[in-house]
Amino acid sequence: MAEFTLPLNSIVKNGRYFKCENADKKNIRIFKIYRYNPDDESNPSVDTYEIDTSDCGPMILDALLKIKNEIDTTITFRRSCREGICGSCSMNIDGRNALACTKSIDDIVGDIKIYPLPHMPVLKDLVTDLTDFYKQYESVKPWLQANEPEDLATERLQSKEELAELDGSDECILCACCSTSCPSYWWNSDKYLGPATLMQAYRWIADSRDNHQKERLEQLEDTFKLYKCHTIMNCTNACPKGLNPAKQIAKIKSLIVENKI
Amino acid sequence: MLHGKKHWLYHRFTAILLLPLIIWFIYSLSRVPEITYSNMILWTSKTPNYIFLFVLILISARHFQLGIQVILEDYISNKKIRDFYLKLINTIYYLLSFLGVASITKIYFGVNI
Repeated sequence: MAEFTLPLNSIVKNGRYFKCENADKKNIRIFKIYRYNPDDESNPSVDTYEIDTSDCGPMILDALLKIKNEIDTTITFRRSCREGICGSCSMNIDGRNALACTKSIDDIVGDIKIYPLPHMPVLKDLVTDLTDFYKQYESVKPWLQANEPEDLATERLQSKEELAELDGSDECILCACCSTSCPSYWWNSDKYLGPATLMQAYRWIADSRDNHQKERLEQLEDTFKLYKCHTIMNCTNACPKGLNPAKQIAKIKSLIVENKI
Repeated sequence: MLHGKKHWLYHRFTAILLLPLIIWFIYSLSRVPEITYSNMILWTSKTPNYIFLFVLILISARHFQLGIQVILEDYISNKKIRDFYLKLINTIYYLLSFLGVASITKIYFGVNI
């Protein structure tokens, strides 16, 4: 059955408070950050940090790095490119999944609450376990499956129109913001592939160079893998790249009907 | 029990069909001067009403079954328990359809024969 009660260690307690001295009060922003350390047996907590924004970059990631470098070195989070292209710093900021590197501090009113991606196992602080997410991605065979050309020197060419079919799906950076914002994925993350993986599946189904469209669609024609998408649209709302996974999932459903899978 | 594509399609088809049927149902009932037992017997015994009601009962019961199936699949992760409730809801669907259709058929033929 679905779990309607939470385990005791899921109760989040108030943690430490890091005050910022010698700063103009009007420049101070409060960051409330989820902390969890698997090495001690205590419950997760929310630590509070006062940040002097006049001495900090404009993005949430800048503030996190400032905390890590100057205030509390124990805070743990993923980050890499710091320009919204690697998808590493995805987290729940102010109640909404986003990339810390592209989310501006000024976009948030009041205290800035930062939590890990929802409904994922937390490894430490803001780092979640994405193992199953990547396994699901692998399951749709996200690579070109095409017959070898007779002449190996022949290129697999695409027209501009064929390439345009991939617009809106091949820009996905697999940050998992969409999948972890989807209630259907929360309920059945072991069976439902989730918006990110399904959008990647569509990316290869729509690729004119790929010869395995039918097999790919057959693999997706499943009550749980695909049809657990109830068009809730949280994925589209959450995508930090402005993509529309719900639309691509609807296209897969249409293709399955059109191709009589 | 339907799964995957067929379930998805049937769920949408039944929803689309229910729209005009429910509008007809509300409109038709609103034209009955007073909702009394005898008036309803008379209303059901008219052939067009009987046919539309027959279809409405079958489609709404099917739509109900398909919808509850989605909820059960969403919320019950244990396969054995889920399958038990799916079978139960399927039985209720057949029972409701049969009872509904049998009732109006009895009224229709009871009055018209």
